[in-house]
Amino acid sequence: MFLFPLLLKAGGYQINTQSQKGLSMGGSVTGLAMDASVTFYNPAGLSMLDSNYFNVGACLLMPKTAFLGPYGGTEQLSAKSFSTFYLYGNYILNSKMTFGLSVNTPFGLGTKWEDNWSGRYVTQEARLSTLFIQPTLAYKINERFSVGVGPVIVTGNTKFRKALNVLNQDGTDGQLELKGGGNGFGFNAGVFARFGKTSVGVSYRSVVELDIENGEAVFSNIPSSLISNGSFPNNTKYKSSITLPSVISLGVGRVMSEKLTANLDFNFTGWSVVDSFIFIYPDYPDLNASSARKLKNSFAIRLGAQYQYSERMQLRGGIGYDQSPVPDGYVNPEMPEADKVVIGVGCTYKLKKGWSVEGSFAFEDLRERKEERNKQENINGTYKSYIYVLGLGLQYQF
Amino acid sequence: MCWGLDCNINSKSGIGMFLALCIFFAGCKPNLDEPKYTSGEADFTSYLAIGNGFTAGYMDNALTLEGQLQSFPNLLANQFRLANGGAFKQPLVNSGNGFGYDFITQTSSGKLVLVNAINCANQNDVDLKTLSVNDDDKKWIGNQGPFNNMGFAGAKSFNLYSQLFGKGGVTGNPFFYRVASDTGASSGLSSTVLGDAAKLDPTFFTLWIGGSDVLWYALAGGEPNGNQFNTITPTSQFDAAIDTIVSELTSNDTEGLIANIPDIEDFPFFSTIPYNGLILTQSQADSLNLLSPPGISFQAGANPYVVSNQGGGTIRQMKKGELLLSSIKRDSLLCFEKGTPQRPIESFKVLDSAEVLNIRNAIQSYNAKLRSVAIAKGLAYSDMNAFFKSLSKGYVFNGAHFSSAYLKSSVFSLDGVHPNGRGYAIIANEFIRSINAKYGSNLPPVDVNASTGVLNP
Repeated sequence: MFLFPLLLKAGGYQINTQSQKGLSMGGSVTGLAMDASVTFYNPAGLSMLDSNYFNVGACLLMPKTAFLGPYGGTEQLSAKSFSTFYLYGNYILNSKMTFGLSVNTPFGLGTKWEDNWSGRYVTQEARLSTLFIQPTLAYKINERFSVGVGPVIVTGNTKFRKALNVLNQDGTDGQLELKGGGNGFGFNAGVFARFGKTSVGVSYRSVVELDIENGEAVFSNIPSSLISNGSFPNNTKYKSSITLPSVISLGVGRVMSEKLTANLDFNFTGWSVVDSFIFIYPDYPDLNASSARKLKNSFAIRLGAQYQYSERMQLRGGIGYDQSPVPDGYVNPEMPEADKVVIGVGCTYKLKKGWSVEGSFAFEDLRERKEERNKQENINGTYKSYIYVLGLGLQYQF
Repeated sequence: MCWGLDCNINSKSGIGMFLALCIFFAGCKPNLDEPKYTSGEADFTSYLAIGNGFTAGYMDNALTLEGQLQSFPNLLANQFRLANGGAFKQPLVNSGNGFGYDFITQTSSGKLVLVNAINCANQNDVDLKTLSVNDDDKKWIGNQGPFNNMGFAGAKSFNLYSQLFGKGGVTGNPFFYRVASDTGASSGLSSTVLGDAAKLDPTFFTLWIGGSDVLWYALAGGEPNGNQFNTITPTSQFDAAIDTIVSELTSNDTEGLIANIPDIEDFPFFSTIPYNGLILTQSQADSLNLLSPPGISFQAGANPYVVSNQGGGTIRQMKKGELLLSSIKRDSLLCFEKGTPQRPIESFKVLDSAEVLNIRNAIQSYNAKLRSVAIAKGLAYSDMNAFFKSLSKGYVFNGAHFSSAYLKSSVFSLDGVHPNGRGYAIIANEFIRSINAKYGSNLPPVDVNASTGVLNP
């Protein structure tokens, strides 16, 4: 009854920072084959690369959220940044086959509020990190068409903390921390077509289910009377699962001029598979909890362009609009979600011997969102978030 | 080398500018503007809270400093100050055990606390412990008034204009005695609650009275035993008292709120012990049946407790709808020391059907009166009777789940009748809702979880 710990989900925090080119173009790259990151964005696009690439990089995400409860007093997400990284490589096996490897973190979340903030019984800290490993093969059917597919091996880790509404005689709250990890499998497939200056890519990444079989629940600062009468354990195991939804992307790229290439992407994320989070405590069934999420499938539209500024230098920019999967009534401070506009800029600079450096910056502006009738935890208020992303990468072409 | 934003600048300053820009942007936190709060048609400049222990912030069977600071009037006054509200002075006791008073035994004590204990079945359990009273908290501070919080535990409707009420002790009320501007030492007649309150020139009031008019009858198990204090105020007397009080309070067209009275069944003190809590095995039932007088029988499972009839002598089994007082020691029920034919529960720990009906009828009639007066005077009205009933379905605020049961995450304090801090905060939010609806103000609710709830050992 006390425990409605909704593990954070990759909710709307699908992270679109999987390459510097993707980040700087507002996420709009499915219709282009620019470097080895295409392994992730569209496996079929691998076939359209005319040389081998190795890309590695990292991004720093800095989410900033303000929350204003109906009782007043704006509260801010306590400073927390988290990083993602990626590693891609492709190798052209022969005129038909290209191998690619993608290692990245397309889902993740990090929110941390002050421990004694007004929503502490809902969440204090929520973290999700995932690692996707995807070996991929692409096959070039002819000069126009190619297909690609790869299995996805996923490992994920979560951490969740919240206060419990059981008070000690000094007035302090009980505390719950859940930690767990799990593995899952899926696949990524795509087709790619090129018609002169226009290219079209469609990719599908499957649902991945991460089962947390042996999660660790730590109850601390629980009044001794509630431990000794069996209401609460000190430590126990829990089971849960995290669903990472499927994503379908359709991209249309076009060479506009010798120097300018543009791409338009539509993304569809199948969030509706996330109906609720369930937490099972095998040894303490009274603590079992379920939290409805009722996520909705969401669309995104993204437009990006790359400009060959000089022989050595490419400039990129992009803009996107992402629909939030969180419906009214289920907005939660562990995932302060709203429709958002994403703007990215960046560049690649060619060094010597096939090496390039890449940098990008993206700014995500989430619409102010007012939750008036929260159906899970009766936590109402207005949220406003910005997310800043700073990325750096290295590319080797051979 | 260049990183993107301004590529005509040389490499080092290009990187520098880019990073500077990023840090500049990344340093920007989102802002949300708080609404502008207004009082609407209400004038909160001088707020008077008048009533009984629920208005005083009485909890855990005592008037304590933390209870007063978390009283609903103090919370309301804090919110009123966001609009045009003024200072709110309470007759504060010292920090510590507080001052409680039992009007049946006419004894004082400190507050209740929960302690770890081993029960009669040798299990880990909790028990209530009464702390000692600090005699300083009984002393007269009436020269420091006037006070905005004029809620006094035990105050009945007609007490509010009584010139005996400030005399303290057995005649008056020890809580008003502390606060009364004149305790009648020279004239024999004290100042009155309404008289002292009028010195505030109130511009807004809350009136929540009538609970004590039935509560002490209920706490005495429906057996006043000649003690006038433990009788139900007759409805005609209550109605007249309300007319007097409200006319006085609204004599300057003062605006305010009237709240009605919850049913006592909605207090855990009367609802925690079930009438049929005698759980027996077949063999226990068989052996009790052997010794039972005619008309009393037992079976395996849940059985009604056996109680004495009023006046003693005869015994009977309880019926559904009858209530047991939580002042029965839990241990005695747990280990069959009470509630059997051999050891019946005393009748003054039981509210039988007739007594429950007396109480229910009185509350219904009081509430009809309170409602009609609120409507006639154009005052805000808060249906606390319905609200306390709704609490039994649970209440959630920012992830904290509350119940109206005893202990655990209850909205009630350890005395099982008065709310705890979070309970008072939930009530304050209900009052704010009624006030906003009536007067067009837009006062925000309070953060319920900023107050304290049940404190567990």
